[in-house]
Amino acid sequence: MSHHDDLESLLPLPPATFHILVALSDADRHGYGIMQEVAQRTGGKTKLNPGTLYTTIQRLLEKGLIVELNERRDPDEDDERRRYYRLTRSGRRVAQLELARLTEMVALGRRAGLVPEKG
Amino acid sequence: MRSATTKVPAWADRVYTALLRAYPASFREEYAGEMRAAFRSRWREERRERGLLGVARLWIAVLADTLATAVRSQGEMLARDVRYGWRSLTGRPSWSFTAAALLTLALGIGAVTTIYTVVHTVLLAPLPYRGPDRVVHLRDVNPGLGIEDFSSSMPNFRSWQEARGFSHLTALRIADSNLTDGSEPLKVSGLKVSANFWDMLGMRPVAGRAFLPADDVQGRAPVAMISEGLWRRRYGGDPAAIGRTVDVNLVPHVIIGIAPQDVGFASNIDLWMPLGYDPEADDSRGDHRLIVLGRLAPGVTLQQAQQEMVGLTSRLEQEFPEANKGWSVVVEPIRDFIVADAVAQRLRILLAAVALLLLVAATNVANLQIARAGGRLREIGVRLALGASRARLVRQMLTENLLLATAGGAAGLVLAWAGVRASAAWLPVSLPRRETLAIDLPVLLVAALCIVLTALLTGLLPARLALRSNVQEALQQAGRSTTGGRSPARHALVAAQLALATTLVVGAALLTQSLVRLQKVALGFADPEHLLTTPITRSLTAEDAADRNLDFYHALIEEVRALPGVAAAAVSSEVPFGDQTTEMPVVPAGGSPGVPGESVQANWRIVTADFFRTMQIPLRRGRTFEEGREPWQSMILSEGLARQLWPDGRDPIGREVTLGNRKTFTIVGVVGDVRQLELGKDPTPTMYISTSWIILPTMTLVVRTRTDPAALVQPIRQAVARLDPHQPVSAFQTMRSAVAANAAEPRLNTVLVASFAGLALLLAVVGVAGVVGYSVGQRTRELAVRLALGASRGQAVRHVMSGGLAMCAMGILCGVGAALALGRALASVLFGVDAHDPLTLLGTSAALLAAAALACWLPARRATRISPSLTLREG
Repeated sequence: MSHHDDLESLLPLPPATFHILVALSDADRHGYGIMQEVAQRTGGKTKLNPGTLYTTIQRLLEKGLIVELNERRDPDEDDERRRYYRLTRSGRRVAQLELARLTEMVALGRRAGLVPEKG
Repeated sequence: MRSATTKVPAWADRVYTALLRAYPASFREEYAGEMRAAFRSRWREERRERGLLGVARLWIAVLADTLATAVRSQGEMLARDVRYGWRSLTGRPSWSFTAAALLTLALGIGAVTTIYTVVHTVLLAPLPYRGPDRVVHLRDVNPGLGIEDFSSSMPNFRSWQEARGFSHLTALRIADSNLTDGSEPLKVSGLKVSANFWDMLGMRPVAGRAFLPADDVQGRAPVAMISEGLWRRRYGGDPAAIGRTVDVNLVPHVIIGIAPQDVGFASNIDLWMPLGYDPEADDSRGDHRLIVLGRLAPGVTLQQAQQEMVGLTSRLEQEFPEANKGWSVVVEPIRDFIVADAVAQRLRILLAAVALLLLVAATNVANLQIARAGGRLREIGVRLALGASRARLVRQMLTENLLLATAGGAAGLVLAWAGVRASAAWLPVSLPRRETLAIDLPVLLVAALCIVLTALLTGLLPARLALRSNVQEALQQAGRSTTGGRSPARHALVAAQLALATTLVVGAALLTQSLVRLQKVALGFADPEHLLTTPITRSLTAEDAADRNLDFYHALIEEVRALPGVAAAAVSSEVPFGDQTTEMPVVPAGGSPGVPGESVQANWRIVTADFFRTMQIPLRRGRTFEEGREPWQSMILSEGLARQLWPDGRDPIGREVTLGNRKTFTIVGVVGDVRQLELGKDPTPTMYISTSWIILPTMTLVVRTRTDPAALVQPIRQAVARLDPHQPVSAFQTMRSAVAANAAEPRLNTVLVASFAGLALLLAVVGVAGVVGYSVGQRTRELAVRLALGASRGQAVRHVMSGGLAMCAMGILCGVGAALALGRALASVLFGVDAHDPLTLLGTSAALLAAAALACWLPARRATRISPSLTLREG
């Protein structure tokens, strides 16, 4: 999965996938942690539901974009043991490629004069 | 962030857990716990921050999300399993297994689908009526006279009109006629029906109009409807045919409408006319000539209608004891009128047989799968060790089997399509509704169900067996031998297979014997090969035409007799194995005809003098009719009837009998019994009356030939044309083919059941050989030890065979048991052989055991090729 073309073929990423990759970019998190992180980063606009979250996690694991860490407790949360996930190099690379693609799209839109109005 | 204060209610947790069941089991095993925890956290969060509205929104979001992601997840898994299954089935080591399994399943599912198509068409497919289950047949019965199915009389039919259980009651009478419209005269099958007939069925004419009550009034210009088929054949489907005048038996009729060809109970009727009035029959309560159909009134059940008719008929019995003594009515669904009990039962037997065949086929594939799963233990062990869940593996194997069954089923459907097309030609003409044979949606659904059940049957057991062992065991065993461990399951499957095959073979053996007996039955007349018959309907039916008709037939007989190759010729109102019959009660003079216990219900035939010589029916006593000067009161009895009328054995010659029509006849002769209607039924008591009494509109010409009967068809046609150029002649038939047609349906049924049994047996024997061969392979080492310790090769073979044979004997025993239990279903269609016939059971078991022994012996011989020294050194 390290080949550039293989990673390229995963683009464009579904928004939920991108959000999850971004949420894992600075720390290992468990499933619910990812949910909270995404909600926080988007100002509460995007709330992942468990179904979307875990089917996406399963897919990302299969593609080697994230890895599962051993179960441990969340110091902030209740006592339940949680599985943590970490972004792999491929995962980071895919997120970067998607970001580049999105940036290009934004630039494209701007050049066409499609600047969103504020407020 | 700690929030132990808000607790998630237990029901919410339960509902969410239930929702999670939408995901594939393997996904659930992996993530359900985490998902529940995440859900609970979200729930608490929403409750805390947004209250109940937030919780409600969460539920909606979670529901939608679960639905979308679960469907996708299932789809992905299916796609993956299908890809995996495809690779696994088409991979190099498997292709021979796949080919064998596909062929087996294709044959099984193809056969089931073909037979089910026939069963569905005849027994289940809706009839072309409005509310077909409301349409009923009213059949006259007289238990005292032993009459189970008879037609009705016009006065009784009129009395029945007061019954409130029916919204419509209609009468039908057969009216085969000669149609002339300028071109060549045509003999057509016709029916005269009550004016409300089409409304009763809820069918509309294809064009034009149906009958109105005004059409059935005496003195009105006669009208007729013709069938769609005749309309297209004769008039090219021209709408202008409506309004045209055609001659029906020389009487002009105006065509008012085009009738649908298929009316459910018949599809060969080309001419429809109003019921009209028949002065000969319609005023006599004892003259049963009408078929009565009806439609149940809204809200009335069949039982209620039946009850009402029982009350009504018993009242009529008291009112008219002369004609109605002992007569009652059975109201039955029209399907029972269309499909005879025996036909329905034979079809059910056929379906059961083919279902058994599919079971044997599926068992065979299951067995192959187990053998293959043995070879795949290593693969399975590795996958388990790598963390694949068992549920995942079972699902994967089931998908593989579903793939296999679907491919087999698809091939089977192609076979069925060809089978159904071929059936249209093979199916006996006597099978009702054969014209409407088609693979339609219900048939496809049943085929799909077969495919799914087959997949489960072939997949579940092997999957369970493969997964019962734990990881280490699987890997160890796979390391030790690539064919897996001993398999009692395979033995059990083979025994089951043999049991199923035995049941089928016993059934087939019984049916075959029954058929052979049916074919050998004494007909009562000689050499049917050289008897040529053709029905001739005379157009002149008026009272004064009788003499002219008689002259015509006498002249025809003279003409035909003069033809080279003709030994004798006669005409008769009916011939054996024709499709119609006429019956009347008869008693020795002085008794009252029609009184149960006193009189006998007997067939009557109007015949010319030479009839008995032509048919070669032996004369037992007295004389046959004399040509030209026989008194009309003379009668000849079949010997069975004579015995029934005078059980004390008195000589019937010169005695008198009274018939249901109050006429008295004198017995001049007694002839041998003849099977009139069905090979499988006892000869019918029969009265023969001379043509000096009456002559019917339709008489059948019977010609005894010395040469090939086919060569005489044209000369006879020419003889008819010489006498009356306007007289149509319909198809000729030899008596041999009429007799054969009578047994056509049991014959086809037997041939099919026998082929299914043969196939099942073949599959079972292959299964036995496979398992025994496998067991020899497994026990090579043990056998080598036995040989090394001084056992002879014969002993080694016997040792291997004994295990296999015990398994086979068990299977055969179970099969015989099942055959005994199922015998009752077969009994009603068997002729001359008991469903529990010990000789058949013993013979079949012995033959099957011999086949099984052969199947054991062939692979067991391999034991003799074992080299003890080599095997033991290697081990």
